[in-house]
Amino acid sequence: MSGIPPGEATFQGAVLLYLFGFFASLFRARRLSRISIGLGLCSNLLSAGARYYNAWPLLPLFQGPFFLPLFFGVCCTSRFRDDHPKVPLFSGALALMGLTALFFPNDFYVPFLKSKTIFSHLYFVFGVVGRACFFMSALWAVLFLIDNKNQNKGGMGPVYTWVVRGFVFWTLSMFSAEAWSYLSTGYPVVWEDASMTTTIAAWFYYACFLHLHLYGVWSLKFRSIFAAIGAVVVFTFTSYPELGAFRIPEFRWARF
Amino acid sequence: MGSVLTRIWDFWCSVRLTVLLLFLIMIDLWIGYFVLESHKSYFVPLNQLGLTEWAGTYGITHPLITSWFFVLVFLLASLGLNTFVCTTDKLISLLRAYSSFPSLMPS
Repeated sequence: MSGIPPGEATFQGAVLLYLFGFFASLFRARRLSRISIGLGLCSNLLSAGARYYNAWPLLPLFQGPFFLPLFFGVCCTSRFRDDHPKVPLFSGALALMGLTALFFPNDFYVPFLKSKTIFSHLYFVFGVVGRACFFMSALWAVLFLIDNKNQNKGGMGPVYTWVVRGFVFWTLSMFSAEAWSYLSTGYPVVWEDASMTTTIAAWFYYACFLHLHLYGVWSLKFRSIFAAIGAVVVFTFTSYPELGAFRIPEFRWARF
Repeated sequence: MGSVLTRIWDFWCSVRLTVLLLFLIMIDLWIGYFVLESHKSYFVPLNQLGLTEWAGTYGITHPLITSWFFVLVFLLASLGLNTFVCTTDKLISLLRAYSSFPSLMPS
């Protein structure tokens, strides 16, 4: 085990547990699925802690995909606990997020002097939490489209709630980025980073959704489609740039 | 004259316009991502020069690359005006409703 980064081994363990939890939920072994996903979340938490500890005081800016399943899993906890009939959809999404991070790992560190402020870390953490909430809202929107044949207004409640939560965290992340940029470079906008525009675009996308929802012009079906597409938007423009090239993971801890 | 002003006011006081502007800003920012990714050097001096000087130099000489930015500024200004008009309209109607219930005020 010596020489194996603890953040790597624990994350691989977490993904295997998420996968096991997903298959267990498919075969309706709910108790086994819950235990497996719970252990996976603990392992993911250890991995996130180890990664942050190893990187400190640097900011692990491109390690968001390793933190995302943890926050997403925490958001899903109540679904796993109250035996929601569509648990495989949530556990499947969780396993998929873990696999994406496992097969497309990336790492990048901003120079210490440019990230020596609490705002850089707040930007990172709030951003990942916001993304997890947006993915949750998209999943609820998919559930609404599949399940809610009568298009009951109540079915859109969780979609709206998770969008609002994601919007709050995304806004906090953007303001933290502004403060970080100003403290590190003296300018409120860093033009060298093109992903800044897509981060703002995602904010406007959900601002648009909230207006459509509150104004109530569009039908519930179209609003849920808009929220479901949000997952594609968030993934393409905020998660995809953080992913690295395809790499087969080495399970070094499993070798004798 | 009054009806023209009312029509202009009504045009800017529209949630449909808000949604349209938000959508257009989003599209423009996505276009901006691809332009910025391949032409960073045109935008980096914006911080040192300031908007006016940058627009008069880099902005005018490379219109194909910088046009998304000017469109963004225009759309954001429109959204700002739209937000101001909507907020003022709501405030006026709230104040009217408030003044029509004097009996609820403590004497």
